[in-house]
Amino acid sequence: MSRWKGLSIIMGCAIFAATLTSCDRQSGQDRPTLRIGMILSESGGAAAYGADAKRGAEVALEMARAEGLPFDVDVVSRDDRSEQTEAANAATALINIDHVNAILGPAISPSALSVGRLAQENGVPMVVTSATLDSITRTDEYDRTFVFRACFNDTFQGQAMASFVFNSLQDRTAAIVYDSSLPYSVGLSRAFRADFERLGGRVVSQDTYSSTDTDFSALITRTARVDADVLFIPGWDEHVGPMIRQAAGRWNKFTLIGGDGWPTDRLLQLAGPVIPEAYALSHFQPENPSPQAAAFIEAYRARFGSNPTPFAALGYDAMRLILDAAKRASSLERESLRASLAATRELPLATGTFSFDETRSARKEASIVAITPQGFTLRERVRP
Amino acid sequence: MSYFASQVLNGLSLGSVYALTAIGFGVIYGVLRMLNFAHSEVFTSGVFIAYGVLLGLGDWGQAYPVAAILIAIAAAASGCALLSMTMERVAYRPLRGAPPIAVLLSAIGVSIFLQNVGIHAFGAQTRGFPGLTVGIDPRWIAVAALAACFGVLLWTVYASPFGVKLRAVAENPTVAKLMGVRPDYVILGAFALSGAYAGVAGVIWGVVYGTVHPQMGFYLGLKCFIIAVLGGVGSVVGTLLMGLALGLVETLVAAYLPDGHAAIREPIVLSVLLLALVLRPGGISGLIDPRERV
Repeated sequence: MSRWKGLSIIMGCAIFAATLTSCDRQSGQDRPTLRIGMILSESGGAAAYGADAKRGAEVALEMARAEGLPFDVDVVSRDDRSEQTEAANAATALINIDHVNAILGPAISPSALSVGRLAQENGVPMVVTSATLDSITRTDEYDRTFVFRACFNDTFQGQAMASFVFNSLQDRTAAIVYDSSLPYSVGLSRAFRADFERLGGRVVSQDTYSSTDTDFSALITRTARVDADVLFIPGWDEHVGPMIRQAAGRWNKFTLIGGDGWPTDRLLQLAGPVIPEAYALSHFQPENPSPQAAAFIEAYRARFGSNPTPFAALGYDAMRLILDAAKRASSLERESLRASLAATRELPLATGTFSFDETRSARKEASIVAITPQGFTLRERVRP
Repeated sequence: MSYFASQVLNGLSLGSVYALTAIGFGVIYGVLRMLNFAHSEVFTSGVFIAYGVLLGLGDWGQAYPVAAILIAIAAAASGCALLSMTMERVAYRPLRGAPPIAVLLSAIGVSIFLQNVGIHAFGAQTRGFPGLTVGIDPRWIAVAALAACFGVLLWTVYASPFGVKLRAVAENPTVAKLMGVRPDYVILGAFALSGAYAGVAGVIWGVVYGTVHPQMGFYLGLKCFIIAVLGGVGSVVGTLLMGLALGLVETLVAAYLPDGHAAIREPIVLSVLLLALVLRPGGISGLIDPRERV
């Protein structure tokens, strides 16, 4: 008798579990799932950018879920280790194996170039977080209509910094030191030079280093004898920080100018206690935040216990862009998402009120920050 | 200071790191005829030990920077000596008498193992070495450290009782054993010596160049191995001279290349090394002292 009783209990449990599974499947049919593939640099040279972007994206998803989404979201995350080939492998897997509806990332230009090509070929919309190289979205040879970015591009960045040096600092001569092995650095140095000379400034010297360099002493001594008002270094924090430290005061005669690769805590840590007068362009500066930025900062602090970096803010914006486009899209098919992303206008996000320009780059306000060993302070805002 | 003098100082500073690291390769090869590929990671460990010590000293280190650097040097030298001895005892001694390829593979294995332990423990990102305001140009610290270390090394190898045993084992371990020398202890001492010098090189790197990274020793180690070969493997004076020479060539090439061509610095430097190897495959030690082997 007790054996029959036990069997009945087991069968009852099995029927109950099957009913629950069936209900779950039923609800899954009602709520479509948006699969987002995330490719960010969580290790390697660009880890400071990708890891922060991932945190920002996670906060955005949490906040959006709390506000309510008409679909489920499934995120598949891959680390490109700051390498172009790893990024391409990750994209191939996300597109062909995970069948994602959209890609978020990468954070850096070399990775974004290779992922962008694959996304375009396979018709998968992607939103780059912080890769600013112009040719990621469009060149004279191609137009990657599926590739969008949450940040501005190097053309805008070069214009903004050239204008800042010429009009705000009233400096007329510049020296440039760029990383010849990094497309981002090459592109930004060209953009700055073109705009600075168009305004009437003069670039008196141009020198290079390589991403593999760790000893910058010869370059520092070489540059120190150049007679220029500002020294523009469009590089990553990983190289600029040690450069400033090894200069040990020998660059004090210059005002140092940098791009969006500078405003990170890692730059401050690597540069050490002595930083000459220095300014850089930033995607996000949490002084006088908008309501959207304030909500993001609060949620980010609650989750991670620290203030968000500009790269975290871009990760947040990229996720919000995809979710907003998915909400407005007629379906979660890739082509519908692309069309909906392209139609984004005046969307309030953490880094500003967002629209895409004709190159599908962000058209929004940027910040120029002053850099001291203690941190970054807002110097002025720049509008496109 | 003139432009040329400043660039020479840059070259000597870089050459100091090269020479101190390369000495370790040379000493071990001189005694055991083995390529200790893991020596690069001993150098990296030296930078990390100094990094930890200086972080631990905190404000006291900032108030007394010279004392802090000396403490970091002592800690890195002894820590790296211990690490190097452990490697010898665990990974190399059991293979004594095995084919050279087995020892080489063991060394490569230890190198990869240590790199991955470093990545797991500290992460793959580059860190900034704690900044110290010493009051003098850090490049002079590198040159002074090299001069002091080289003096100690010369005494150790050519004037101390251990040096006599070391040279005896390098010359002929069997005969040395018949004379009452215990080769295992001498080899262990050679590893301690090479580790200690890699530790000092690590501290100099941190103080002058300011970065710490778990894989930072790999490329530097390759260059140092070439330096040890060109110096005449086992030749202390030859290794020192070649280390300084490579540092100077590398810096002066970068200093006098036309603007915007810094990327070809490494190919030029490596071509010079290749040419030197072709012209003198046995290194320059024969030019200094044909009998010298450690």
